[in-house]
Amino acid sequence: MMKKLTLALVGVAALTGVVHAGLKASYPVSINTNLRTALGGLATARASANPNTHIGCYSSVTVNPAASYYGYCQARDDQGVNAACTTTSPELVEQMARLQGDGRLQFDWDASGTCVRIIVQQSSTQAPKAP
Amino acid sequence: MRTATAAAAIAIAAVTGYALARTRPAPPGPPPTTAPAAVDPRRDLDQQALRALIRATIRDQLRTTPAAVGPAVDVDRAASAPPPAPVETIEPTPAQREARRDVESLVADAITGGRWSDAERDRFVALAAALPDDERAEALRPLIIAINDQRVDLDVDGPAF
Repeated sequence: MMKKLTLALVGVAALTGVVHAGLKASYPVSINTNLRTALGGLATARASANPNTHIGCYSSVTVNPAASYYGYCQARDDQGVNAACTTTSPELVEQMARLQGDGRLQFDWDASGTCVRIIVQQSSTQAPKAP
Repeated sequence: MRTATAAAAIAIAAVTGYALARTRPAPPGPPPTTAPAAVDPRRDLDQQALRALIRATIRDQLRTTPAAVGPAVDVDRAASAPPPAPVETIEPTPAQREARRDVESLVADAITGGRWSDAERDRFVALAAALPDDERAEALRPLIIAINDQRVDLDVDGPAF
């Protein structure tokens, strides 16, 4: 009886430990110039040992004198490879604006440097930014 | 023209219905044995004659309607509809033209030098404030292409443009 109780307690403790740990993932900045795609987690980029590594987007919406949209994304990986794209597409600019502080970003571009796809991801697996 | 179209539509529907009635397979189940056979009034129509009649009707309508050529226009609506709005184009101001030239020069120098640093970024932000969004994107395009080709090193703290 005592043995069973001990086993049960160990099992509960183990399970509780797993629940508290949670799944964690890091997303280093990765740029593929052949596929014209860049991705990475904002917190992972900030925590990089390379002080120049970064990834992010800028978005701007104008309403006067005419409605217009403008945005760009930029990234630099640990190896110093750079990538950037711009867009005036309302859909893509709005998608850029959905990126949050600890999100994961992917942007794709075409030969003219125009953004063709923006993916933003928010997940519990992503770490918050450390100082 | 509308009369002709309506006449043609009715006639075509009649022919189509006739053809369908002739070719439609018998419904499943045992054939009715007690009910008297239904008489299809179209059965005795001469299909060739009907088609000739339709053609003649359409020809007559077209001949007697001078405005029958061209797309159908609702005259009342066309007369009361407002004229199409002119496409609004905003001409760049002299200041914007100058800013665009300066941005292009800045970008060209950065591509030649192979580096886009905080100084270039700050200069660009100051100049581009005068530009509409599409002009800003266009002015940046050569630089973006050069960055993606790794011909220009992006050496900035924070936003690049």
